[in-house]
Amino acid sequence: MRLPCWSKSGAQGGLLSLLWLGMLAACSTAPGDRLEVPVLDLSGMVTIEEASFEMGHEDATPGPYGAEWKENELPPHEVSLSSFAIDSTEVTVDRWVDFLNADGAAHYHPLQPVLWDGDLSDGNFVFSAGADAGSRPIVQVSWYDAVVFCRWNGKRLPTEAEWELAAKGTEDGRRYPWGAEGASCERAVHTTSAAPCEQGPQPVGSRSPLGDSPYGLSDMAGNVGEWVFDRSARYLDDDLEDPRGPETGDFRVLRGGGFRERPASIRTTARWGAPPDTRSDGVGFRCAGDP
Amino acid sequence: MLVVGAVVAGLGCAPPENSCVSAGDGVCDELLGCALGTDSFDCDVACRSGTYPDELAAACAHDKAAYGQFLGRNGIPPSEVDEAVDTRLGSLGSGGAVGTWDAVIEARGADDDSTVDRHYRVHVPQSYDPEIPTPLVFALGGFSVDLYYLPGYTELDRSAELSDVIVVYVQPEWRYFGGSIGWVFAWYVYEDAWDGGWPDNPDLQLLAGLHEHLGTLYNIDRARNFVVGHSRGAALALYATLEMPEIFAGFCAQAGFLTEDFDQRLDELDPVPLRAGFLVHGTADPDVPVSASDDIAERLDDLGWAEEDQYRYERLEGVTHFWQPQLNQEFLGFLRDRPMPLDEVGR
Repeated sequence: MRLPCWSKSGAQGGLLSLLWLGMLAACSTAPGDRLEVPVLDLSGMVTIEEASFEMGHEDATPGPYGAEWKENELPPHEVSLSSFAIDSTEVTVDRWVDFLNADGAAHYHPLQPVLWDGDLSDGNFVFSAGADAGSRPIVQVSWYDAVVFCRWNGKRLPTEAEWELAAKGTEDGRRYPWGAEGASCERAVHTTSAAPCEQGPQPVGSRSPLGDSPYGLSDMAGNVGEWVFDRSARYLDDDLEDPRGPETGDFRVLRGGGFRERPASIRTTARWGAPPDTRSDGVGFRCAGDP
Repeated sequence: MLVVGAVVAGLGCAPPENSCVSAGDGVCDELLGCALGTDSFDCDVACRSGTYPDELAAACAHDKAAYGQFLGRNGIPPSEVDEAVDTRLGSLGSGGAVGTWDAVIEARGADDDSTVDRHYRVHVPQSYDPEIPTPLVFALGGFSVDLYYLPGYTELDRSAELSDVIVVYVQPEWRYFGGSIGWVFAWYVYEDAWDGGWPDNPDLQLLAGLHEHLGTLYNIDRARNFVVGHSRGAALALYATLEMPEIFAGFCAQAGFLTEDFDQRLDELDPVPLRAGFLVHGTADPDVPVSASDDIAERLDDLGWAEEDQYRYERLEGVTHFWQPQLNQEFLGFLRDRPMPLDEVGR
């Protein structure tokens, strides 16, 4: 644990949250250090070769009352992407804890499913996964937290286009990662028209392989919504090669839907925006990288 | 980064700001060449420009993560929360249950002397903290729509979690319309449907009663009560805000309309206090033509509401008579940023 200044045991949160400030910079690195950019480790990632695919909803015809497409998914447009790698699962609590214990203490939040223990007097304290939480996706993370975590791993957040390609592939513009068949609790942790499949996020890959995408990625539909890099806006006409979204905007995009979302919102083209400092028990992320 | 430095300095282990070898050269080097917090001057400028390359995002994120923890909910700095949590802002309800629960409240019926049971569903976000006033959002469905259909249709449960608001889905009254319609759930939006004038409207009284009741259960941000609706529910959302501006700080009306009798009522109410409004309407709406929201916007202009200051209008090409959940965060953000002035709360 590289946090020599102080630590604390006992209750989570409260004033302690304020005291976590600055530890990432202040206590884990010496002033003026030159930082090494971590080397990308491709284990646990899937490499997707250069490809073109149709992004957005496949049908521009206005739907009837109750139609499931949303206006911000239009129009469908051909996008070209360079090769990239993307995590095959959502980032787990265990991985997040590794980050907190290494360099990321400033990104701890009391609502995260994370415990900590230690002593203020001797500077030793350690984060650990909450009960039964280690293999579940980390939640209650802001877009900023996600960016820093990925960077710590030598990775980055996927762009929205990369995420959508990884979810549906290039062949058939599939509605869900597994194909055209409708959503079910066997394939995705979500909320059906009748009831939630689960009361919260499940261990990553819990619906594999039935719910996997064509590239073998798990939970691309449901479990937790996932932050991607792009700012939220209607699709831009001139952003078709390795698109990164608009350069300004208040919201960042969420993809995939979570355990609380209905079938329409876990489709491969469904998009959502939220302020980047938003934290939710239904939002996590996965990272991408450039092999 | 300045914030980080100040706090850490108090703990006695601050990294000297601008100790990066290239500090002050106009380029933020944090994470690329220097440790976080050591090129503060350059990185502050770059991050606060609002547009920065991907490579800088982590440095800016670090700044934001540090700064963000200084902000309490609703952007109130913790040092000011105690001052803010008074009876003007927080209702000080002592409850704390989170998640979804259903309940019934007794309310006025269409007749002077009648009462009816009205059903509602509440979704309280996991982040709810009884110490901090939380905005309340009433959600109203369209004609014949059962409240239990609304969470899935509007996706407002997710938005409650993302935006730290409490959402209350309200059931319209079960009413008989005769002919081919028969019995349906419907709001009272035409004045000839109940005894008395607009202040006696059963639905407006229901919303006022629910607001009061929920304020005893939760610590409600009384400056941020909003009402949102679709179609007929949008009409009622508009009416509720204009009729009860002491309760509601704003509304979102999706595919809504303004009836002639309430338009006349507005003349009686004039001047109407400025509140916040968010209009959404599809140009291909076959049920309520988009001209209905055009008319609302025009009427708001007449009332002195300025577009973008007091209201925003999303006029969506090709969209039909359908709630647009992808705009939930946008309208909640717009409304949240426009709280009722504290000296007008409850007045």
